[in-house]
Amino acid sequence: MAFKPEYIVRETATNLTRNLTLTAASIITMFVALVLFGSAWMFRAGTENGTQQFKDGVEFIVFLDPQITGEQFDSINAELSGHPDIDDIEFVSKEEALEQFLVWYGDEPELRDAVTVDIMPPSFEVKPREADPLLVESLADQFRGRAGVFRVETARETTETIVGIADAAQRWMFWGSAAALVGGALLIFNTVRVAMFARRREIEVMKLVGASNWYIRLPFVLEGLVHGLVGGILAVFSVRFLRTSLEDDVLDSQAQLFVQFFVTDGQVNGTSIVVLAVGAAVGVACSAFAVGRFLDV
Amino acid sequence: MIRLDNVSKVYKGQTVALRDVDLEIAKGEFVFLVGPSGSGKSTMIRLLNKEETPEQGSVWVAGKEINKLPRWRVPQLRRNIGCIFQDFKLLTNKTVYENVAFALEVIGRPRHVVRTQVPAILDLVGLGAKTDNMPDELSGGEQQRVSIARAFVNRPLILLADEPTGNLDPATSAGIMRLLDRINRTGTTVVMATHDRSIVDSMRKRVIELDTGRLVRDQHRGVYA
Repeated sequence: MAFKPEYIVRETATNLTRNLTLTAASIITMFVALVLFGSAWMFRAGTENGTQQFKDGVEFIVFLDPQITGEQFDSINAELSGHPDIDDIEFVSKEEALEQFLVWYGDEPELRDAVTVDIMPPSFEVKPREADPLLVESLADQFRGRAGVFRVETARETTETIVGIADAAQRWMFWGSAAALVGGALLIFNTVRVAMFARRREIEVMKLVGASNWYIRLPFVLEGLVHGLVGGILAVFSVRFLRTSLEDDVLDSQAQLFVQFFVTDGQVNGTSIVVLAVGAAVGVACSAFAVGRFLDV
Repeated sequence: MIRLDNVSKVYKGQTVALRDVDLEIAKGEFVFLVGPSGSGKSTMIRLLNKEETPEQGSVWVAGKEINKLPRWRVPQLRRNIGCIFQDFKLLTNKTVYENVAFALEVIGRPRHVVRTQVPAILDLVGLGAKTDNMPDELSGGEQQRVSIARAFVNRPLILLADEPTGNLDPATSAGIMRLLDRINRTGTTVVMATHDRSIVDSMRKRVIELDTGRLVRDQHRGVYA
């Protein structure tokens, strides 16, 4: 038996509009769930990008004691400059460090007022010959605990910290989206169930006159698909807007460090496809399950 | 057209609805199923429509053993069987025309078939002038006529009627029976479960009597009791 598209479209539209509040609730819940899911997905891509950037430019910083003596300074400077595994070093003075600090935190009066040039540690930014994490770590160890050295920080440590925070954030976002998706799935399940109950007499007649199982079921399954897909489309727009807005904020501010976390258009498109696919899959799966469970044809 | 071989049907709780029933109904026959409430009349109708499956025996309809029919082929079977009920089962949000057209639409009949067959069948049942009325604007007899039009619009081989005059007064019931007789004369096999003594006695058709699930009488040109 050939499907009549106009019949299927009409019946699906009837199902969707028969109980508008439930339809809206399903779509909004799916939208929220998919925004969280899409954000987490894109956040992960951004973290990978950021991590990749750190890997490419592995280096470490030797922060000096603000009260370092000239002798100690000369010794460290000579050792860094003459080290066979070190390609380049750059000295950042107390004044330059304060300048950089004010660039980053100048908008925050509490921090700005708390620091003076005297307490800012001067530092050597060190670029090794090879970007090998083991080599970087071993070089950093050679300067840790030395007289006149306040702290040695490798890019790897910083990366790990950022990745650690990002991982935790991602995990929470994924769990949040999973919980919201379960909520959306249950709402779709119930909405389709209510639609079937409202149309039980029609379904009974359809069965009696010999309508095929899929002719009866398809409008309900499509109803679930529309819930998931519309939620997904709204989520895609929101996630794209979020990306543009965050990246604009980063570009406007001086927090250029985060430029490394920008996602590519390809990654955004990939995220959009995943979000739409998840929305559609959840919608179809829930409505098909409801139809299978409650429609005995 | 219809054959039951040693058919038994037991519902949950061990209620025996039909017990070892053997029966054969030829094409074009008009058969009354009579018997007290709980005798198994409605169960037999439901077995013939594949709404129920027997625990024992075989049910043959139009040359097919329907108790072995896979679920996906049941719709095809039902397109050859029209059903009418005591409560009409009309869709209250659709007009008379739409109620009848619905039966064709949902089995995928083309629009031009719907446009020609629906007015023709509504003329046949005497409702040609009420196509745009809603069901609640019609009398009980008229509603049952819509139900018959819907059951017959696809020209089924068999028409199953479960107490179709149960909610109607005698004069209206007589009109419905004249309509069913007319449909029967087109070659459609009619099986009708009823409690209405006067109808059965006046029609003098084949009468099959059931009592506590057993077939106790099969009489040609019979009466109610």
